[in-house]
Amino acid sequence: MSVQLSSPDKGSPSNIGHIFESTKLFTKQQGIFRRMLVPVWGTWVLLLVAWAVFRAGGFVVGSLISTLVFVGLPGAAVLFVASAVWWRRQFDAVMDIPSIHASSDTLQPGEELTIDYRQHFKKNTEIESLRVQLVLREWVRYTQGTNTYTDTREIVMDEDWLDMQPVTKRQDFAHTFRLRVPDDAMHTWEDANDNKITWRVKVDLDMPGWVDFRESYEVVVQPEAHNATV
Amino acid sequence: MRLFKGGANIDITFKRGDGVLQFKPGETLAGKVRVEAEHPITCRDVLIEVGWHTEGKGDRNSERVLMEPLMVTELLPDQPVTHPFSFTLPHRPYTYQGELIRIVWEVTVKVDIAMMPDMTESRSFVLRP
Repeated sequence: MSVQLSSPDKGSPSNIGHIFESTKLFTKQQGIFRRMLVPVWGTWVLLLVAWAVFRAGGFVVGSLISTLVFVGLPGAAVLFVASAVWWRRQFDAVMDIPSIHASSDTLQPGEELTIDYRQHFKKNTEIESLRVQLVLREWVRYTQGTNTYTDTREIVMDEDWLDMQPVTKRQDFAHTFRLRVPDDAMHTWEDANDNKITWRVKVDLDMPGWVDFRESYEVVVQPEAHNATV
Repeated sequence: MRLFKGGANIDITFKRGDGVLQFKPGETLAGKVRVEAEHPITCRDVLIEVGWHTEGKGDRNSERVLMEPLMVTELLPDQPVTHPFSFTLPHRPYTYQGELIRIVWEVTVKVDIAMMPDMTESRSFVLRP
């Protein structure tokens, strides 16, 4: 069974594979709300401060704060959006978003996993490195006093990579990576509330002059006799 | 007969001559429990339990997977209770030794005494294919 990890068309949910849909998309949506909270809240606070200063008779300071709220912040927002659009256009001019397929999202100890990486390039450029890792992640939650903390450790169980690689204009770059779950691997374990063991495939594309493309996708490693009843 | 006063010697032995305490998922874990009281003890029951618990940085999680009550309510000195047990082990989770998490399987014998702390003895084993 082939599983699509990500699609060149990220806006079309029907093209997005199970793993991508369940993890990355959700995380990004959460991130947008989190990022919006700070400027919206900050603007309200500044407006309240300006109003209070005006009432107290501080005309100059109040004017400065009002200018910051009504001119400075919108200006910064416009600049931010413009730079993001410019950056995205530059990216689109050079390459498409990679398409990543896994041979399976459910694995057994000792099983091999192939990752097909495809990406269309529109200009001559080069790949510094392209690395794919199979990672076991330990996640714990613990309490100290009345506070609750979490901690994670990632252990690389297998990896495959591609070193410096020039890519030419209109090239459909494709490479297949092979990862293997160790024979004595611990299975995915999420039964306990405060201790969880999960597996992920991490993809890291490093290109000179560009922000690294880093994605990770969850896979499930089953115990050997998973079909038997407990 | 007095209520609980003093302790009891609890001995857990696995029926395996090779001394290796590793079992495969789905395998039969057989052994013997011997409980010998130092003083007369009145208890609700003596329980043999099989389960796992976590150790490490995270808060402790545990689960009792199998249990067998021995239907014993009195323990007398010089009259040890000996009971064989045989459990079919579950398939997961495996015994695990990680950086933040350890999963430990064990057989626990618990003397359940009313209004008093239970007397327990555990013996760990490895569950792996």
